[in-house]
Amino acid sequence: MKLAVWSPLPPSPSGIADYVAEQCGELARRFDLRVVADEPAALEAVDADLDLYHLGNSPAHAYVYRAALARPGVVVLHDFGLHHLVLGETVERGDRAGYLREMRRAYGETGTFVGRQVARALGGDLLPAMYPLNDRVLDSCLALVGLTRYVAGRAALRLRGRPVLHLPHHVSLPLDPVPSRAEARRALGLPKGALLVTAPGLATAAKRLDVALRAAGRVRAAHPSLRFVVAGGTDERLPLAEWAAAALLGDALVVTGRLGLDDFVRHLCAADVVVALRFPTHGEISGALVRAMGVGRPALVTALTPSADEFPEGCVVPVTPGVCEEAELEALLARLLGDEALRETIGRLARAHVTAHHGLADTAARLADFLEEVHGRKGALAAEVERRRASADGLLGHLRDEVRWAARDLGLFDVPPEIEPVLADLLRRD
Amino acid sequence: MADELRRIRESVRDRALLERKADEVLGQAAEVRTAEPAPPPPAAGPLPPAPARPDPAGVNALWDVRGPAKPAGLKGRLARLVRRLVAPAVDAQVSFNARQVQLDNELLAYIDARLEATHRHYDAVLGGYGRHMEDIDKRHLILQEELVAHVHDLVKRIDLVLSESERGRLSLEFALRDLRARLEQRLR
Repeated sequence: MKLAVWSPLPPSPSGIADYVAEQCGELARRFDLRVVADEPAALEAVDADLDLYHLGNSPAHAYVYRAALARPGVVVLHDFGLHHLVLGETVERGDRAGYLREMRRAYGETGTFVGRQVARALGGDLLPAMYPLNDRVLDSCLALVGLTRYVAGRAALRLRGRPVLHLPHHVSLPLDPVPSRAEARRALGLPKGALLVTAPGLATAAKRLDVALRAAGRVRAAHPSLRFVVAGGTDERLPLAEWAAAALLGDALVVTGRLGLDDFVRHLCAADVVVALRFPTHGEISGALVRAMGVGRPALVTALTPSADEFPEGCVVPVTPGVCEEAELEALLARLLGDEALRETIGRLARAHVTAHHGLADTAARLADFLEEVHGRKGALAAEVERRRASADGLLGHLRDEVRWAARDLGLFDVPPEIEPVLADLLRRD
Repeated sequence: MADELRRIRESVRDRALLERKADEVLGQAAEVRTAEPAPPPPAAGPLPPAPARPDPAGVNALWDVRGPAKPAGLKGRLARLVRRLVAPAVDAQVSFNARQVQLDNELLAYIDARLEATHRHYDAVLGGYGRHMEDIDKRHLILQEELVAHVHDLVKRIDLVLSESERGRLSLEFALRDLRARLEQRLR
């Protein structure tokens, strides 16, 4: 089978690029693979029996989004929410009306109201996370792959009759064997005897680093050797140095800047505790978290986010995101830093879990089986998608859109199928 | 392990019941800026050279057309005779000239004083107007910047309040999940 894999590849800034590059090696054993890493001149130029679209919530995936809508295939939804991607495709290209139309279509008059605010850059960070704006993709795909139960579960409610796979995010470590803590610290020039709390990946406002730095600052009173390492690039709007100074961390904050994959994994190996908080979430799971677990480090995650729900408690350490978040984080950090045996136990459980359930070869084989199954049913699935698309145009489509958000207002995920003939009948009478 | 982590979390949960002050969550509201009184306008540059003032010296010197007395002799006698004959007309002319020159001098002095007063008045009017316009522009700019800053501050605060409530919801949901797990453990 000829399989077209649509995704940016390294050195793209998208974290999905590394994931796809690692997975493609495995998929190439089962399929005649062609990777579409840039926008092709024409869709027809990509010759494939099946398309696999990797979609993330960033403009780097815009061409994948357009292709996924134009030529239905299997979508790997790395983020459940695609709001920023759709914003980039509409408002940031001057098509404000197109964005408002999408919001109206997906969320009715509430969507229009929220959309107006977001389009004027007055929406803040939370509203886009609360409105995932992924309807077009869910409506158009033949099948869907979610990297967390959260994504797969929510998508399954929308994709009635179409296949949905929960594919655990694979763990792949570029260093073999994985260096010990001491070796990693030596290679990175980090102090041998310090307690390292590491926040891996691009530092953004959603990673709660202000809270983490304050908690670390207080814990440092009991552990003066504590260093807080931000292992990755930094959103320049984050006043990390100011936060560290206010938390009395001072020179205990180490910011590495963007790292190559090898050094990134060394930083995970060098850590005593990994902080991988996230709020708000767009339904994503952090590849850095899976890697940290893969090297056996205890990771603090935000409770009830896909990153926390994906793993049994004990493999990760959930922190409640409410008003006691900072106090909990401080207490958990203090406990973990003060008890090496506890850190080792959690790290061991984490490593065992991802080794058993997140292996690259196993997950790629599951994906390959799923793709073959979808390919076998492609005709029927494509016909169903086409039928939905046909009714999405014209007056019937408009009525369906209006009824859809009314249905969602009632707590339903989509318009019940028996409603459509009623609408069609209504139009005939007119 | 889950029990151990739960115990740690519960040890700090009481703190969540303490009501927080708005400032702890929202931070201090941005200060409202107002404009200071406008400073005096900068000194005006040098004026262009004024046109030459009319010189009254000529009329002041020549208004008396009678001239000096003529010398003795036949010519002198004749001249005095003629002068006596035309004296009334010449005296009247001299008298008129004297008055005219006096008026000319007064007119020049009046125009000088009037122009100076007018300049002083309009300098004051234009200076005041300029300061007023400058003040208006400055206040307008500050108002514009303040409005933008406050709208963005408002958006941040709305976002923060939404985030707080959403995080609170998740927190309660997580606590309920904990409770359910413990109840199930007890019932087993």
